[in-house]
Amino acid sequence: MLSKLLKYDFKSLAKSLVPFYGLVILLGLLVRISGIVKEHFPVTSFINGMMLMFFIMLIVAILFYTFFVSIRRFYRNVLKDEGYLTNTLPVKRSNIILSQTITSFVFSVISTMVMIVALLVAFYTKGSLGEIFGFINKLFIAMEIEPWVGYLYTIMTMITGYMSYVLIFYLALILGHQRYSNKIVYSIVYGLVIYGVLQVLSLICVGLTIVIDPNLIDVMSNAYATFKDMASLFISSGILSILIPIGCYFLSCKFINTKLNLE
Amino acid sequence: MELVKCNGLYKDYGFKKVLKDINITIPKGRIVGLLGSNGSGKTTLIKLMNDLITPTKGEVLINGKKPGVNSKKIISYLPERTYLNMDMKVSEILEYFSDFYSDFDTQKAIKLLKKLNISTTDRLKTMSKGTKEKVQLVLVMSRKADLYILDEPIGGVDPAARDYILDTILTNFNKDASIIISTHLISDIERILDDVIFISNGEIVLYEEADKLRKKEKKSIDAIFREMFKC
Amino acid sequence: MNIEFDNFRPIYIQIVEQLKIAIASGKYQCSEKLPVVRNLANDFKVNPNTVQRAFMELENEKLVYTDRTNGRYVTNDKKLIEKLKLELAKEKIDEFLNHMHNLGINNKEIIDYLKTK
Repeated sequence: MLSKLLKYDFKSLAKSLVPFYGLVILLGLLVRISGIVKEHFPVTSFINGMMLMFFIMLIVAILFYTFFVSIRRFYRNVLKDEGYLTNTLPVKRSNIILSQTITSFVFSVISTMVMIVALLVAFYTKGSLGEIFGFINKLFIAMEIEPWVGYLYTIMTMITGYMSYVLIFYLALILGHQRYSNKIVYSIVYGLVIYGVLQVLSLICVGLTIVIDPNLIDVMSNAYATFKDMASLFISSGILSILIPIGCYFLSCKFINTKLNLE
Repeated sequence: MELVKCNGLYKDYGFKKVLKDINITIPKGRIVGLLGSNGSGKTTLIKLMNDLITPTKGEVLINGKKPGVNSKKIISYLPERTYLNMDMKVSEILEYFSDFYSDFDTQKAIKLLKKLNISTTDRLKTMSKGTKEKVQLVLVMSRKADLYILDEPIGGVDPAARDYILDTILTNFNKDASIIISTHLISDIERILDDVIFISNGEIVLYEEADKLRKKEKKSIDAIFREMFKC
Repeated sequence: MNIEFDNFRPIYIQIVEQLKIAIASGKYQCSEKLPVVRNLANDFKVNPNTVQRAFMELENEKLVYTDRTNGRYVTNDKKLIEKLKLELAKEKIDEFLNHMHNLGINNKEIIDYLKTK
């Protein structure tokens, strides 16, 4: 049944996001075209400027919009009127949340790819990719990090960071929804509480890391420390960043079984 | 094996005791009216049967087991509100039901919708409230479930639609299944009920065969109810 | 059949009455097969269980019998049906006479009126 849930969650998010993707790529095209036109007819450079402005706005907005659409779908489909249908389907509640989580993740990846494609459409010139990667590689090496480790860690933290927010929102909405009035207000309150708890957890994590690797104290006060010296911290915060979304997922599953309160 | 069994069932919302000591057994093959005024606990009891909320004390058993994935397979539930995704077309909602419910009869649903002049390409968004409610009823009754739970199916609906709804309920009746109809509009549906349950202030006040009650009191169920719950 | 049933009397009893009238009047002939429960329930717009109960009542009074494989039939006891017809007629007449007496009309006036029909 999970596959069926995925099918419909996917369809629903696609309906909202695909038009937006089309718009972003279209604008990327327009930026490129107006850029070419500008070369030949300098007087039209203001059009290029406008296209550029809208394009940048959409690029910045794309992940925020994706996030917003994911959360909105979850809220409507699970906690509002549609919840009467969703929560009485012959599926495990944990699968309902899992399906929403997977779909949110998949679309965050798709949105990122669309963003990259649109940027390429708008700005790509021969060899520019090589330049960009070359630059990033040099940066990593300067920080004494193997480039592949750097890429991997960055991508991992981006993913876990995004999914943490998604799952924190899910959890806060579920908790806030058990109230009879001011559900949204309570959701925000719960969200802040969760965030506070996570901050405390992060501190504890740092503390534990210091206990394991006492050199860290010196390293952190040393302005010339390299990333290699702080490897233990990166590893522990990396582990925490994976555990947080997983923890929120399990708590969401637990609370949706016991605290569901459809109006 | 009884279809529905409640044992010492209690439900509190905070300090408010919404259901108190519910002990009822609903067998197969009956059309049962769950009758009570608004706030009497009808909807809470229904939500407990549908695994939408959990008991504070006691239990509700569907075919001998606690509500869960298996009970949802055999319960067809029509809530009081519009619970469909408005962005969908009728054909998409039919596919949705058929995907999740193995007992869903798509052809039957299409036939019933056709009689209402609803085509599969219509969008739910464009329908009137009454039409949406009829669509939901058709979807619920097109499943071959063991237990149908209808929460206020005829509230806020015009008389012709009401007849249609009662007709649909009757023609879909099969003696291996039961139908629970929860309503406060008693006189409109009492003639199709086998048994009636009166619920008030979270307690079961009466659970009797409709005709037996009529013979005893020489009154309609509606009249009996009104007398019992005069303010 | 658009029968209006009263909600204040047991429905199954009202169905029994309707069926008795149908049998007595010959709508359902001697030994004729009766409609199945489901169809009758549809026509009357009542619960099939109620129709079932009504049939059982008629079986108790021997007006109807069940042939296990083939369904339900009106009895072939013509005398019984005649008796039924008479019973129903007497009921209605007694009811009528009651109404008339309430209006202050006596039996002689009724007979005179009937003679003119």
